[in-house]
Amino acid sequence: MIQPDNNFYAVLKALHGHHLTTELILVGGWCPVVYQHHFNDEDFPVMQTQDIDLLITNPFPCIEVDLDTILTDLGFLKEFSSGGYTRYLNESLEIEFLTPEKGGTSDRPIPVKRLNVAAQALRFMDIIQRHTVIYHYFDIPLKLPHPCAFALVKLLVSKRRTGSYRDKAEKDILVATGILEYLAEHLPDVFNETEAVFADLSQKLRNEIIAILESHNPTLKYLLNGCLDKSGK
Amino acid sequence: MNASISVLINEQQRLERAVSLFSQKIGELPRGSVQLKKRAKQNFCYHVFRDESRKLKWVYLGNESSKKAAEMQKLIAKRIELEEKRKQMQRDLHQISRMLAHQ
Repeated sequence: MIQPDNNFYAVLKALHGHHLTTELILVGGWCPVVYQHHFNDEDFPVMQTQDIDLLITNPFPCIEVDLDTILTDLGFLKEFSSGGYTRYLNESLEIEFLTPEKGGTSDRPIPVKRLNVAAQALRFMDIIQRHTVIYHYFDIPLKLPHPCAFALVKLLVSKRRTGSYRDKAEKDILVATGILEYLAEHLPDVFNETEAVFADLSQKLRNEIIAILESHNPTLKYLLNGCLDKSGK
Repeated sequence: MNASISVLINEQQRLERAVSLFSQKIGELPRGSVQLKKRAKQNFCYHVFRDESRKLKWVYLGNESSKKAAEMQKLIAKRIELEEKRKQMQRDLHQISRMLAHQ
Protein backbone atom coordinates (compact mmCIF):
# COMPACT_ATOMS: atom_id res chain seq x y z
CA MET A 1 0.00 0.00 0.00
CA ILE A 2 1.33 3.41 -0.99
CA GLN A 3 1.73 5.70 2.03
CA PRO A 4 1.57 9.50 1.81
CA ASP A 5 4.73 11.50 2.22
CA ASN A 6 3.95 13.48 5.39
CA ASN A 7 5.83 16.66 4.52
CA PHE A 8 4.46 16.83 0.99
CA TYR A 9 0.97 16.04 2.25
CA ALA A 10 1.17 18.83 4.87
CA VAL A 11 1.99 21.37 2.16
CA LEU A 12 -0.87 20.16 -0.04
CA LYS A 13 -3.28 20.22 2.90
CA ALA A 14 -2.39 23.84 3.65
CA LEU A 15 -2.78 24.82 -0.03
CA HIS A 16 -6.02 22.88 -0.35
CA GLY A 17 -7.40 24.88 2.59
CA HIS A 18 -7.29 27.89 0.25
CA HIS A 19 -8.45 25.98 -2.87
CA LEU A 20 -4.99 26.36 -4.36
CA THR A 21 -4.35 22.72 -5.27
CA THR A 22 -6.71 23.04 -8.22
CA GLU A 23 -5.83 26.66 -9.03
CA LEU A 24 -2.09 26.06 -9.25
CA ILE A 25 -0.60 23.17 -11.24
CA LEU A 26 1.83 20.80 -9.61
CA VAL A 27 4.72 20.29 -12.02
CA GLY A 28 8.16 18.73 -11.59
CA GLY A 29 9.39 15.73 -9.70
CA TRP A 30 6.39 15.19 -7.43
CA CYS A 31 4.04 14.51 -10.34
CA PRO A 32 5.17 10.87 -10.78
CA VAL A 33 4.50 10.33 -7.06
CA VAL A 34 0.91 11.52 -7.56
CA TYR A 35 0.55 9.45 -10.77
CA GLN A 36 1.81 6.41 -8.88
CA HIS A 37 -0.82 6.96 -6.22
CA HIS A 38 -3.55 7.66 -8.77
CA PHE A 39 -2.83 4.53 -10.81
CA ASN A 40 -2.37 2.64 -7.54
CA ASP A 41 0.68 0.80 -8.78
CA GLU A 42 4.03 0.79 -6.99
CA ASP A 43 5.66 -0.16 -10.31
CA PHE A 44 4.89 3.28 -11.73
CA PRO A 45 8.37 4.78 -12.24
CA VAL A 46 9.20 7.44 -9.68
CA MET A 47 12.47 9.24 -9.20
CA GLN A 48 12.12 10.96 -5.87
CA THR A 49 12.85 14.64 -5.54
CA GLN A 50 12.47 17.17 -2.75
CA ASP A 51 11.58 20.11 -5.00
CA ILE A 52 7.91 21.05 -5.24
CA ASP A 53 7.35 23.15 -8.34
CA LEU A 54 4.02 24.93 -8.59
CA LEU A 55 2.93 26.46 -11.86
CA ILE A 56 0.96 29.69 -11.71
CA THR A 57 -1.16 29.77 -14.83
CA ASN A 58 -1.09 32.75 -17.14
CA PRO A 59 -3.47 34.65 -16.95
CA PHE A 60 -2.94 34.44 -13.22
CA PRO A 61 -5.66 32.78 -11.11
CA CYS A 62 -8.34 35.16 -9.80
CA ILE A 63 -7.90 33.85 -6.28
CA GLU A 64 -6.23 36.16 -3.77
CA VAL A 65 -4.18 34.30 -1.17
CA ASP A 66 -1.04 35.19 0.74
CA LEU A 67 1.13 32.18 -0.14
CA ASP A 68 4.09 33.69 1.67
CA THR A 69 2.22 33.64 4.99
CA ILE A 70 0.82 30.13 4.40
CA LEU A 71 4.27 28.70 3.76
CA THR A 72 6.12 30.57 6.49
CA ASP A 73 3.42 29.49 8.96
CA LEU A 74 4.19 25.91 7.89
CA GLY A 75 7.81 26.46 8.95
CA PHE A 76 9.32 27.23 5.54
CA LEU A 77 12.01 29.87 5.29
CA LYS A 78 11.86 32.30 2.41
CA GLU A 79 14.84 32.79 0.16
CA PHE A 80 15.41 34.88 -2.93
CA SER A 81 17.22 33.00 -5.66
CA SER A 82 20.03 34.67 -7.59
CA GLY A 83 17.41 35.41 -10.28
CA GLY A 84 15.22 37.23 -7.73
CA TYR A 85 12.28 34.84 -7.59
CA THR A 86 11.03 33.44 -4.29
CA ARG A 87 11.90 30.01 -3.01
CA TYR A 88 10.78 28.38 0.23
CA LEU A 89 12.87 25.82 2.05
CA ASN A 90 12.42 23.66 5.09
CA GLU A 91 14.49 20.75 6.33
CA SER A 92 13.16 18.36 3.68
CA LEU A 93 11.43 20.29 0.89
CA GLU A 94 11.95 23.20 -1.43
CA ILE A 95 9.05 25.04 -3.08
CA GLU A 96 9.37 27.15 -6.20
CA PHE A 97 6.83 28.95 -8.34
CA LEU A 98 6.88 28.87 -12.12
CA THR A 99 4.81 30.55 -14.78
CA PRO A 100 4.68 30.13 -18.57
CA GLU A 101 7.21 32.26 -20.40
CA LYS A 102 5.57 34.88 -22.59
CA GLY A 103 7.26 36.91 -25.30
CA GLY A 104 10.79 35.59 -25.37
CA THR A 105 13.39 34.56 -22.85
CA SER A 106 13.77 36.64 -19.71
CA ASP A 107 15.57 35.88 -16.45
CA ARG A 108 13.55 38.45 -14.57
CA PRO A 109 11.19 37.19 -11.85
CA ILE A 110 7.47 37.61 -12.49
CA PRO A 111 5.75 39.12 -9.44
CA VAL A 112 2.33 37.64 -8.74
CA LYS A 113 0.93 40.18 -6.30
CA ARG A 114 -2.35 38.34 -5.74
CA LEU A 115 -0.40 35.37 -4.37
CA ASN A 116 2.44 37.41 -2.84
CA VAL A 117 5.23 35.46 -4.58
CA ALA A 118 7.64 36.01 -7.46
CA ALA A 119 7.63 33.25 -10.07
CA GLN A 120 10.21 32.09 -12.57
CA ALA A 121 9.11 32.18 -16.21
CA LEU A 122 9.88 28.94 -18.05
CA ARG A 123 9.45 27.66 -21.58
CA PHE A 124 6.95 24.88 -22.37
CA MET A 125 4.86 25.56 -19.29
CA ASP A 126 2.11 26.73 -21.65
CA ILE A 127 1.94 23.16 -23.02
CA ILE A 128 1.46 21.85 -19.50
CA GLN A 129 -1.13 24.53 -18.78
CA ARG A 130 -3.19 23.34 -21.76
CA HIS A 131 -3.05 19.62 -20.87
CA THR A 132 -3.96 19.11 -17.25
CA VAL A 133 -5.80 16.48 -15.26
CA ILE A 134 -7.18 16.47 -11.74
CA TYR A 135 -6.02 13.44 -9.75
CA HIS A 136 -6.31 12.87 -6.03
CA TYR A 137 -3.37 12.46 -3.74
CA PHE A 138 -5.17 10.63 -0.94
CA ASP A 139 -8.04 13.00 -0.07
CA ILE A 140 -6.63 16.08 -1.83
CA PRO A 141 -7.61 16.96 -5.41
CA LEU A 142 -4.62 18.15 -7.38
CA LYS A 143 -4.27 19.74 -10.77
CA LEU A 144 -1.23 18.41 -12.60
CA PRO A 145 -0.08 17.82 -16.18
CA HIS A 146 -1.48 14.89 -18.09
CA PRO A 147 1.21 12.17 -17.73
CA CYS A 148 1.91 12.26 -21.50
CA ALA A 149 2.30 16.06 -21.47
CA PHE A 150 4.57 15.75 -18.44
CA ALA A 151 6.78 13.20 -20.23
CA LEU A 152 6.92 15.04 -23.55
CA VAL A 153 7.79 18.35 -21.88
CA LYS A 154 10.53 16.58 -19.88
CA LEU A 155 12.02 15.39 -23.18
CA LEU A 156 11.91 18.90 -24.63
CA VAL A 157 13.45 20.41 -21.49
CA SER A 158 16.23 17.80 -21.45
CA LYS A 159 17.58 19.15 -24.73
CA ARG A 160 17.82 22.65 -23.33
CA ARG A 161 19.73 21.87 -20.16
CA THR A 162 22.99 23.77 -20.26
CA GLY A 163 25.92 24.43 -17.94
CA SER A 164 25.51 22.97 -14.46
CA TYR A 165 22.01 21.73 -15.36
CA ARG A 166 23.35 19.48 -18.15
CA ASP A 167 23.61 16.55 -15.71
CA LYS A 168 19.86 16.68 -15.17
CA ALA A 169 19.18 15.98 -18.85
CA GLU A 170 19.81 12.26 -18.48
CA LYS A 171 17.49 12.12 -15.49
CA ASP A 172 14.80 13.99 -17.47
CA ILE A 173 15.01 11.47 -20.31
CA LEU A 174 14.98 8.52 -17.92
CA VAL A 175 11.89 9.82 -16.11
CA ALA A 176 10.06 10.69 -19.36
CA THR A 177 10.78 7.43 -21.16
CA GLY A 178 9.99 5.47 -17.98
CA ILE A 179 6.54 7.06 -17.77
CA LEU A 180 5.79 6.61 -21.50
CA GLU A 181 6.92 2.97 -21.40
CA TYR A 182 4.76 2.31 -18.36
CA LEU A 183 1.72 3.93 -19.96
CA ALA A 184 2.22 2.09 -23.27
CA GLU A 185 2.44 -1.23 -21.45
CA HIS A 186 -0.13 -0.86 -18.68
CA LEU A 187 -2.46 1.96 -19.69
CA PRO A 188 -2.67 2.13 -23.50
CA ASP A 189 -5.73 4.40 -23.39
CA VAL A 190 -3.81 6.99 -21.41
CA PHE A 191 -0.77 6.50 -23.67
CA ASN A 192 -2.89 7.13 -26.77
CA GLU A 193 -3.71 10.58 -25.39
CA THR A 194 -0.13 11.50 -26.34
CA GLU A 195 -1.64 12.17 -29.73
CA ALA A 196 -3.59 15.18 -28.40
CA VAL A 197 -0.46 16.66 -26.81
CA PHE A 198 1.56 15.99 -29.95
CA ALA A 199 -1.06 17.69 -32.10
CA ASP A 200 -0.59 20.79 -29.96
CA LEU A 201 3.15 21.00 -30.69
CA SER A 202 4.90 22.65 -33.60
CA GLN A 203 6.51 20.37 -36.19
CA LYS A 204 9.93 21.45 -34.91
CA LEU A 205 9.15 20.31 -31.35
CA ARG A 206 7.63 17.03 -32.61
CA ASN A 207 10.82 16.34 -34.57
CA GLU A 208 12.90 17.09 -31.49
CA ILE A 209 10.97 14.55 -29.44
CA ILE A 210 11.21 11.92 -32.17
CA ALA A 211 14.98 12.53 -32.46
CA ILE A 212 15.51 12.17 -28.69
CA LEU A 213 13.51 8.95 -28.61
CA GLU A 214 15.33 7.63 -31.65
CA SER A 215 18.66 7.94 -29.89
CA HIS A 216 17.52 6.87 -26.40
CA ASN A 217 14.59 4.53 -26.83
CA PRO A 218 13.78 3.42 -30.41
CA THR A 219 11.03 1.05 -29.20
CA LEU A 220 9.20 3.96 -27.65
CA LYS A 221 9.63 5.99 -30.81
CA TYR A 222 8.07 3.12 -32.74
CA LEU A 223 5.16 2.92 -30.27
CA LEU A 224 4.66 6.67 -30.38
CA ASN A 225 4.68 6.64 -34.19
CA GLY A 226 2.07 3.88 -34.08
CA CYS A 227 -0.11 5.97 -31.79
CA LEU A 228 0.18 8.95 -34.12
CA ASP A 229 -0.37 6.89 -37.29
CA LYS A 230 -3.63 5.53 -35.87
CA SER A 231 -4.93 9.06 -35.75
CA GLY A 232 -3.67 9.71 -39.28
CA LYS A 233 -1.14 12.38 -38.18
CA MET B 1 26.30 10.68 -15.31
CA ASN B 2 24.24 8.03 -13.58
CA ALA B 3 20.72 9.36 -12.87
CA SER B 4 20.79 8.23 -9.23
CA ILE B 5 24.03 10.16 -8.67
CA SER B 6 22.40 13.18 -10.25
CA VAL B 7 19.53 12.84 -7.71
CA LEU B 8 22.04 12.66 -4.86
CA ILE B 9 23.96 15.70 -6.10
CA ASN B 10 20.70 17.57 -6.46
CA GLU B 11 19.77 16.76 -2.88
CA GLN B 12 23.27 17.66 -1.67
CA GLN B 13 22.96 21.09 -3.30
CA ARG B 14 19.47 21.61 -1.86
CA LEU B 15 20.67 20.70 1.64
CA GLU B 16 23.70 23.00 1.36
CA ARG B 17 21.41 25.88 0.40
CA ALA B 18 18.98 25.03 3.19
CA VAL B 19 21.73 24.77 5.84
CA SER B 20 23.07 28.15 4.76
CA LEU B 21 19.59 29.74 4.84
CA PHE B 22 18.82 28.19 8.24
CA SER B 23 22.17 29.43 9.61
CA GLN B 24 21.38 32.93 8.41
CA LYS B 25 17.95 32.87 10.10
CA ILE B 26 19.40 31.37 13.29
CA GLY B 27 21.92 34.24 13.38
CA GLU B 28 19.05 36.73 13.35
CA LEU B 29 17.38 35.14 16.41
CA PRO B 30 18.43 35.71 20.04
CA ARG B 31 20.72 33.21 21.75
CA GLY B 32 20.45 32.01 25.35
CA SER B 33 17.31 31.52 27.39
CA VAL B 34 14.69 33.29 29.46
CA GLN B 35 15.28 32.85 33.18
CA LEU B 36 13.15 33.75 36.17
CA LYS B 37 14.43 35.49 39.28
CA LYS B 38 12.33 35.69 42.41
CA ARG B 39 12.42 39.06 44.15
CA ALA B 40 10.02 40.08 46.93
CA LYS B 41 7.63 37.17 46.17
CA GLN B 42 7.49 38.18 42.51
CA ASN B 43 9.04 36.53 39.45
CA PHE B 44 11.00 38.67 37.05
CA CYS B 45 12.19 37.58 33.62
CA TYR B 46 15.68 38.00 32.26
CA HIS B 47 17.22 37.19 28.92
CA VAL B 48 20.39 35.29 29.77
CA PHE B 49 23.04 34.80 27.13
CA ARG B 50 26.77 34.89 26.54
CA ASP B 51 28.11 37.89 24.65
CA GLU B 52 30.97 37.85 22.10
CA SER B 53 33.54 37.73 24.89
CA ARG B 54 31.71 34.66 26.34
CA LYS B 55 30.65 36.75 29.36
CA LEU B 56 27.25 35.87 30.85
CA LYS B 57 24.73 38.71 30.45
CA TRP B 58 21.41 39.16 32.21
CA VAL B 59 19.05 41.57 30.47
CA TYR B 60 15.87 42.49 32.30
CA LEU B 61 12.65 41.82 30.33
CA GLY B 62 9.90 42.56 32.82
CA ASN B 63 7.67 40.57 35.10
CA GLU B 64 6.40 37.07 34.36
CA SER B 65 3.43 38.22 32.33
CA SER B 66 5.24 40.87 30.32
CA LYS B 67 4.81 40.89 26.54
CA LYS B 68 8.55 41.36 26.06
CA ALA B 69 9.34 38.17 27.98
CA ALA B 70 6.76 36.16 26.02
CA GLU B 71 8.11 37.48 22.74
CA MET B 72 11.69 36.66 23.73
CA GLN B 73 10.64 33.15 24.78
CA LYS B 74 9.00 32.66 21.38
CA LEU B 75 12.08 33.83 19.47
CA ILE B 76 14.40 31.62 21.51
CA ALA B 77 12.10 28.61 20.97
CA LYS B 78 12.18 29.35 17.22
CA ARG B 79 15.98 29.45 17.30
CA ILE B 80 16.15 26.10 19.11
CA GLU B 81 13.72 24.57 16.60
CA LEU B 82 15.78 25.82 13.64
CA GLU B 83 19.02 24.62 15.25
CA GLU B 84 17.55 21.13 15.66
CA LYS B 85 16.46 21.05 12.03
CA ARG B 86 19.83 22.33 10.87
CA LYS B 87 21.55 19.59 12.86
CA GLN B 88 19.41 16.96 11.11
CA MET B 89 20.17 18.48 7.70
CA GLN B 90 23.90 18.53 8.46
CA ARG B 91 23.70 14.83 9.35
CA ASP B 92 21.88 14.11 6.05
CA LEU B 93 24.40 16.19 4.16
CA HIS B 94 27.27 14.29 5.73
CA GLN B 95 25.66 10.98 4.76
CA ILE B 96 25.10 12.08 1.16
CA SER B 97 28.65 13.38 0.86
CA ARG B 98 29.95 10.02 2.06
CA MET B 99 27.74 8.17 -0.41
CA LEU B 100 28.99 10.35 -3.24
CA ALA B 101 32.60 9.95 -2.15
CA HIS B 102 32.24 6.17 -2.42
CA GLN B 103 30.92 6.32 -5.99
